[in-house]
Amino acid sequence: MARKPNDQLKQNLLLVFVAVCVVLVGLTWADNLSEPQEEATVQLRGAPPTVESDRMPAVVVPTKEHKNEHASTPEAGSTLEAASTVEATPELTPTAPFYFNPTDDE
Amino acid sequence: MSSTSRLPISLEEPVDSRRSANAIAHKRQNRRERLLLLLAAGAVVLAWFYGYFTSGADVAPLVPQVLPDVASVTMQGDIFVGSDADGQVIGYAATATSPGYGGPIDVLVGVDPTGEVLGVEIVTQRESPGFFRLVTSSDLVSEYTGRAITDPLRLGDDLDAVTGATVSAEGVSNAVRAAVRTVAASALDTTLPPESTPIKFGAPEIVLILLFAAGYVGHRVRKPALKKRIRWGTLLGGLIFLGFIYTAPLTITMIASLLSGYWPDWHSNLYWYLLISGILFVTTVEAKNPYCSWFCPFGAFQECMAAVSGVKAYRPRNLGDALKWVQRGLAFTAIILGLALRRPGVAGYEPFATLFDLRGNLIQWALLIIVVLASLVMYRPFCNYLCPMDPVIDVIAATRRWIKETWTTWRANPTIN
Repeated sequence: MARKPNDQLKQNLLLVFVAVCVVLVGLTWADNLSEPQEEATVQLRGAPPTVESDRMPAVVVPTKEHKNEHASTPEAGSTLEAASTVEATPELTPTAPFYFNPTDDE
Repeated sequence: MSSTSRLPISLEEPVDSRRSANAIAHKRQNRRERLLLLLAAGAVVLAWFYGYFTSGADVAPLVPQVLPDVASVTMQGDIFVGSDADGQVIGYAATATSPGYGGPIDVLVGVDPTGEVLGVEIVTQRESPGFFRLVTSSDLVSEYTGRAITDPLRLGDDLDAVTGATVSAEGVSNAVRAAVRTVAASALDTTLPPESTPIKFGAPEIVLILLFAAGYVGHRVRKPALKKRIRWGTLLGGLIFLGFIYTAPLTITMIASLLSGYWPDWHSNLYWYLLISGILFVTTVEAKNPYCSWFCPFGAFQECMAAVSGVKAYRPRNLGDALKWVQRGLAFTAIILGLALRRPGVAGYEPFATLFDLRGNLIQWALLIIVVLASLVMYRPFCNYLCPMDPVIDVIAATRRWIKETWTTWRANPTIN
């Protein structure tokens, strides 16, 4: 007879344990997902350790879709700045390189 | 109501009718579970395709980061050619991929025309964030800058290894060497000596094989006392070697990598293959779980805690099924996350590295502390209610049973099917 409340207490404790752990697991996933997949690790000789994105040059270059299993798609374009900037840029071909000045924005 | 009417139904019914009712209920449950198994498998396949078609990174914007002072970028075959404002070629950049712990690691490497590495950029990675943070916080990436492409560029040779993230660091190192080779062959007309990939077979692999063998023997031993002794031996072996020394337990990240098709290079990750194939083999052929109760290091740790406190196994009467589904839900979510995002590293939530490597963030430490404290009052709480490996091994066993039953039925009467 005395075992029943004890059993209920055990079950309640177990439920609390599982609930708290599930919340922590959810937080772990949220934390993992908040980590960027693309690392901003930039190591250049004679350059600052990081390059800010607003210093990135405005260019259209052929995209090399880097997928492990996929073929690259060089015909697709990649825009780094506003569309208006992109429209003014000549189409890039291997024989007609597009020029930009990375220091323009500085 | 008479006293007999309150008796359990089993005493009032004939044995045959009771058996047939049980068989029907069992059959229904089997059907329900198989339907759910099929639905889960369908969701896994969908997640795989979703991840496959949505993953990928644009490499081009990163080229200026590995070729300093570049003014224009063109593509020649697989490599980027960077030129300055006067049109002079100042360097070449190439991408390469190599398997890490959670999946492939993609890098972009810039090399100048004299064959000097100008910069290395990690484009994408699928590692567990905690592990990969060790790589990014180390000097590994910066160590490449200024080196010649003819240098070995190998960890433990001319580059410092990264303690605690060996597989991830190896992945980065292998990918950088592959990218350098691409540039050398395509742009610099330099032939580098062929890569030698020695098979890494050492103490961890030997210990693992011994544990599997001991578990196999232990399973077959009839004498309970001897079986118990062997089991404690394998558990302690797992705890010490696979846990504290090598920190190489089976994780859901490994399963998500396996399902994603992100299999690590077998030459340097023989342990990974031995562990996974060993478990798959024993579970499918012997219909036994060779890992969880025999040498899982985290399970062994909880079992030691239970031995210290004297706590016994407890099966909650009303909650058993519900909690089993919570555990299955966690495993399912982890796998779907890993596949849909093509990042097996994010799937992991087990506090293994926190215990064995004393590494983790606040959330992981909180989870570990709660599990450790719970282990003093509950028998293997993580294994019984949270670990994603138990449902994974259950699924393998259930699939095996299903195939076997279908085969037996078909053999008995081929016209039915």
